[in-house]
Amino acid sequence: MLNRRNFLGLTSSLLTGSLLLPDLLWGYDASRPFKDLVIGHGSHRYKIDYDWGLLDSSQYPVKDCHEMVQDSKGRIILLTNETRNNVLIYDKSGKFLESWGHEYPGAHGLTLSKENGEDFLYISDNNRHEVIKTTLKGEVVMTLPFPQESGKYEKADQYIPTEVAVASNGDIYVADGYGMQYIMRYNAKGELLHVFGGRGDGPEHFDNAHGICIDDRDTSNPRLLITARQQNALKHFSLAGEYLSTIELPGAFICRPVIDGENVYGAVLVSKLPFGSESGFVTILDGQNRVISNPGGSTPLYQDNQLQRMHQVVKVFKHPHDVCVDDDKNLYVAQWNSGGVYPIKLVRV
Amino acid sequence: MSSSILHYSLFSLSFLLIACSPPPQAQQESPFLQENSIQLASPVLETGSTLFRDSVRVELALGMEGAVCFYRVGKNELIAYEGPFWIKESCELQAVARAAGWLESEPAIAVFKRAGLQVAKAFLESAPSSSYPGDGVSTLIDGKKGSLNFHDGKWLGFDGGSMVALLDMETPINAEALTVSILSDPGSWIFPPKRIEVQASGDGKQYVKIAEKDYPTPASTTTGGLQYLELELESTQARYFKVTVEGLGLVPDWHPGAAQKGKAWLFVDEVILEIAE
Repeated sequence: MLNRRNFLGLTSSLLTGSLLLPDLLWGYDASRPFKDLVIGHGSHRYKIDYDWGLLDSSQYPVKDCHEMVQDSKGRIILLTNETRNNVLIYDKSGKFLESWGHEYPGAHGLTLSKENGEDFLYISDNNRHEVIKTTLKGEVVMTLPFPQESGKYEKADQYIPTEVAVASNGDIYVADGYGMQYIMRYNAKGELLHVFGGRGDGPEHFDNAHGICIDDRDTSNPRLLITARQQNALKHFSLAGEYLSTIELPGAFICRPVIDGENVYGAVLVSKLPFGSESGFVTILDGQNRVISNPGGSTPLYQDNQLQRMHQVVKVFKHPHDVCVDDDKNLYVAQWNSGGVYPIKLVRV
Repeated sequence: MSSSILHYSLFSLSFLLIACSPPPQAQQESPFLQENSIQLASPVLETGSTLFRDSVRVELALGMEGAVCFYRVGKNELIAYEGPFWIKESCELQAVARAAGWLESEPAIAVFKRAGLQVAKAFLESAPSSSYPGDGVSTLIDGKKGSLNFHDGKWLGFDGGSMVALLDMETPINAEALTVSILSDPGSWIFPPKRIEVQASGDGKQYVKIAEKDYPTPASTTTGGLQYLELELESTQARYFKVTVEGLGLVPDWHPGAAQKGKAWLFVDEVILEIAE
């Protein structure tokens, strides 16, 4: 098994050798043992467990680890586009429990919905151009094919759904984040009710509507919170699909918003363009939608009430694609295009 | 002791520590990542135009408590960053970040270029794409640097083709170097040229080749940036200079656009002529 807690960083730094003389252990004090690294800011700081969830990749391989959720039993469910096992299920300690799924080559979005006391999963498949609702055992309950009835699409290829959110009344919202940027609203039976969003220059439009969730922090006023990744922003919409407001996140190509308690969490895929590979981090907002911590990223700084541009400061992550917050407030970070790595667990300190 | 000697000593000391002392251990076996196992990201380098007439201000920051930036200008000594500074000559700037418990970053690198001779007139013998016309040919000699955002209107974009520009200096000069300022952004299908050729003429009719250079094609989408491609010129008195910047044509085989035989874009924002001082 690969031990990821080695000194790879040290070796690569020596090999690539900057033109400057590398002073590798700047500030090193031989009399003091190494300590655990801690990332993040203020109330949301974390130790880093690279070995969580490691499996024998010949038996349980992953490609892109796209998204993760925790089910009602406390189990951690990972979705990958590796069709040998699209779904891997762990306990919180990282112990493997079970796997299923071979028919989701474009497995991308994973949403858990509690409906009449039972957990269901919604898988957004980029390659199949549809959304599939399953039980936790992988039995297919419903399929939402490409929404031809919307009148927005000529063919299925134009529709590349990335995420689903399910409201308390059972309405299902699908974000076409890699397609034409529309948000589809269905009823619980899968009948299309409304389409909004789409490409454009208005605040109600999207460029890479990559994630969507129900923001029910104000229980009297649940809203949709939708990613506009290329615009480095999250946007609030009413459940009826009316644009409300924008949360600017300068520099952060945020994937999907995840609500936990009063906070919004998000994986930031990269933090700069155009050559931003492997520059991701995690961002955490408070109840007023202000960034309070960036594990792996820069200290959040507001000047004149404007959030200053954020970026990666330590190379803990490559391309974070999703954050799952468990019931202990620890985080699991799934990564896209990061060399087939399993998720990283962040343990809150 | 000069700071560079001190730096060498510290560097050697680091190795001695690794070689001679028992490897540092956590007080007890920890499941978590330990100090000195993860590298810092490169510092953020905030600056005005890297193409400048008099001077340009530079700021460095990592955005992390406890981190310190170090930089060197050209071949000068590495020094600790204490605040904004000014660049007054053409040079390469390198900056790294350091913080106790973390491995030093890769360097952030920026190339600064002092604007050259004022070119009296310029002409284009090849038209840019109507999508990226910049401000016409004057874009090449206005001293305004394009940014990494190729939509910023300061770039001339050529779709799959080449750029041929003619510079008229009005009086004969003995130019020493010519620099073509380009953008490389393979992820956006924008590539460095395959080749640049410079010809000179006294009368605008008979041209003689005075420089030629080939350029490698990037091997991935993860590299790129603002680049100054400098050519040394053979010594000639000339009034007219013809610059041929030959684009790549099609994107390379490894590129996602190769299957559809996608055209490689060429983006140029300045052509700079310099004489010996």
